[in-house]
Amino acid sequence: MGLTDILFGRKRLPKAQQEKLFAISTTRITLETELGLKPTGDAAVVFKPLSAAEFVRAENELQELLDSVAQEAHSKVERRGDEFGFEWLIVRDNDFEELVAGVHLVASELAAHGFGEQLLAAAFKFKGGEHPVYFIYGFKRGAWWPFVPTGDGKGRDNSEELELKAKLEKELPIEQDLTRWLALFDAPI
Amino acid sequence: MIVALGIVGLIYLAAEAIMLAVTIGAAAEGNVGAALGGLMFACAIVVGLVAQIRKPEGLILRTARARLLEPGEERELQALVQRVAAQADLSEPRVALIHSWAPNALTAARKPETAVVAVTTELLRRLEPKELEAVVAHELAHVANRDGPVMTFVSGPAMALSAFWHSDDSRAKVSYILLFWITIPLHVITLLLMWTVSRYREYAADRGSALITGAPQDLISALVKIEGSAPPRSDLRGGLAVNAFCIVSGRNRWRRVELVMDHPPVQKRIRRLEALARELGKAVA
Repeated sequence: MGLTDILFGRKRLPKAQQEKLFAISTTRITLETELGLKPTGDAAVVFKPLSAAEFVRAENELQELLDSVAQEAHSKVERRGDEFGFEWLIVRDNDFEELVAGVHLVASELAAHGFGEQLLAAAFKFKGGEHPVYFIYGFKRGAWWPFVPTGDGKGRDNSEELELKAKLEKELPIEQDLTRWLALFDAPI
Repeated sequence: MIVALGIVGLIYLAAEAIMLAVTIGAAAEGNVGAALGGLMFACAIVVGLVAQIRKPEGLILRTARARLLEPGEERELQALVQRVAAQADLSEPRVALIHSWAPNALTAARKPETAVVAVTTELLRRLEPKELEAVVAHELAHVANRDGPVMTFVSGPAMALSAFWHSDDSRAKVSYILLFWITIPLHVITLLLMWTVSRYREYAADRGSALITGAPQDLISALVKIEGSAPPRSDLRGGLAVNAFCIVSGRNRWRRVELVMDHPPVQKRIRRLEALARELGKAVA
């Protein structure tokens, strides 16, 4: 945010940072060997069209986008909404490399269609622990954080999340401000 | 650590030597009153230190407004402390509760057999059982490391100088001021030594906790919750949360100089625990 933006009150949404999305690929081995966590093959890109006009445009373009991504990435792609009014573009692929590539492609296509500033997060789901583990990539900050919902209301297992941070931060750009590790409860993946 | 303890030891020896020199000098001049005064001061240093080290836990607990729990009271907490003590191979300590809004815990222990672990009601409310276990393990690591007597020894000179300055007796305060060229530098040095040793013992207790529970992440989780910087329960998609996500700068944090901290910065403690978590992870793997 520049000085003129401050003076004239023109705060803009930060642009999406996609370059660190691929970092999750290399952590899969650590997750499996050290923590017994395996990808479920499900991941998603979460975004929100800000205006009604954009939503109509999104309606028209999204299906086209999904078809092209599915064809290019060889992954299954579907679309879901949630109670917060966000759109989830869900990518399913048992090959983790393909899954990451698919999510990156969806994010890139959305950015190319003018939705870059509305990209909120990407989420990858893992299983093998007591609770499901999500790795969330915040497009605004270009950083990752773990999210382990306990399934008990809005409960989350902070200890496990912090253990994941400790073991993965050498290979994954982890968000250092823990207060920004916001949750994605009831994620449709 | 050894250097700091050595310097404190030298300060005690120097104080003793000065008092004995005053005693001998006065005795040689036939000034019996001054000789007795010097001798009394020399003895008072040793007696005062021993008395502080042997100070009953009850006195410390009264200062912290802690109440010892009766058997059967707060069963889960007492069982948890018992379990951690067994894991640490320590005698079962007594458990006390402090009614406070601040999440905290403390230990009073002349020796492991008479140790008391006190926790605040807010700590019980805020932490999950495994995080509480990690905090109790941290306190018991202080007991196992004999931090009570060590810190009493280290803090003695600084406390004595503070007592001079805060004394109700105006003569003590005047002496402190008149001898400012020695009292003030000595006071600063002894305080810095005390804080340095205290921070070192905190790191050691953190490590002890991690080794007792085998889960450094539980202590990290407890520390961030106590500090108020834990991952939030709010959702990324919530209005406030999304706005927060767009804010460029982080929270304003009042920075403190580590040199004058009695506890290390939480972020540094977390870094060390994270390194330990990685070590423990590799050992298991």
